[in-house]
Amino acid sequence: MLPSLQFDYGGLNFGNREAVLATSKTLEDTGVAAYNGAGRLLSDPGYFLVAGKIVSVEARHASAIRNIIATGSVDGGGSAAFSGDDVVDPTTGLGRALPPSEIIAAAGGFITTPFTYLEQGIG
Amino acid sequence: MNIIKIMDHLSDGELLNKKSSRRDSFEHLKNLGKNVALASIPFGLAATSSKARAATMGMAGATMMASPTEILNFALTLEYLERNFYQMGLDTSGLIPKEDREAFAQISKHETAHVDFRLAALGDNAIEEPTFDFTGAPGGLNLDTFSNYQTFLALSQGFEDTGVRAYKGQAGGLMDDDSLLAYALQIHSVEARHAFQVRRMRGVKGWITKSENTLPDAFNAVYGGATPESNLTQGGVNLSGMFNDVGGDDVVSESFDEPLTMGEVNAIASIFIVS
Repeated sequence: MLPSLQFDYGGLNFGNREAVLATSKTLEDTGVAAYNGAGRLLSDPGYFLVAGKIVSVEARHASAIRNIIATGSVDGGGSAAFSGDDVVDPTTGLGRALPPSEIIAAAGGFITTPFTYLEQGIG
Repeated sequence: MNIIKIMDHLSDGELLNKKSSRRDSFEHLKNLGKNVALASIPFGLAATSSKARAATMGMAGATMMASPTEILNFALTLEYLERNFYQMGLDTSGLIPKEDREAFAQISKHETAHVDFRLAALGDNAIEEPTFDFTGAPGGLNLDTFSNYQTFLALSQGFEDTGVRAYKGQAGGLMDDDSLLAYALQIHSVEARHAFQVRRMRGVKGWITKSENTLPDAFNAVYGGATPESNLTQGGVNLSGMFNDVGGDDVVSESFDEPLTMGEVNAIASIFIVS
């Protein structure tokens, strides 16, 4: 089980719109990549099903944030930002999938509580 | 191979009993495409409960356990449908407003890539490309799809949200193959981005509130099914009434997208498939 987590957003200035949006975009896009990468690691069909139900909602969120950043409007003004080439491979049409180690590298800095197996000295 | 015959084959519950060589897989209940009713069984019991197995076997409308090849061909069918739909839309002069073309060009690019990706994966096992009729004539409809942008947009939303739900319903059947599973998830999340964008372009929220939608009645099935989008039970827990301080049941339903079975997707797609 996870310990109770504490978070620290460090130097993020919550009064700065660009900074908050950029962080939000990172978290949402990373969240999608995390779920996509974790799928193969889940063996319980029930957990897998719920994770699957969540990841598509995170992808919708990611699109919203990307639209706001690119166009100032959540509608995106007909632009391609919602699924830009930086997050969807233009050759394969695949979104990103990252293994836990890379997710921790991208987003783990916000979590101050040791929670990985390594940090907890488990296994 | 005739796609309608394949779709019917995959939806035939009687075949469930003939695939005895895969019966041991039931113990792990990997094919969530037919196991959507198991969402009501608490975690931990689903994989081992003989009651769960009985529920699965007896479940009305349960689809048979599809093989990875069948799942990939099912996905390929939907990608063909979307690719052709968007290509035709972009090629129809005067249909898509200039300011929206970039978004649809991006979506079209992805669907084309998805088809190519699936074809590469399936090789000789790939089904033939179906013939589509986007007026919906095969399903008894007469839509002005390529002369009315609002109709085009409505179908686009329907296809994208169906695509999300279709992948979600079949991903479990790929749990034995890490690569195939990852690829399915990586396409699934892209379809969700598409769905968000098209929904916003239609002036509705990018996520799905209960089973509400502004599509023609003929497409209510896109948000229905054995596990409809209005479902509020997750992991065996009924979340209704539990989050009233952050938006209540509407928000709960928006927080989770729900799977469609192969049969349910077939019923929607076949409206547009001639052969």
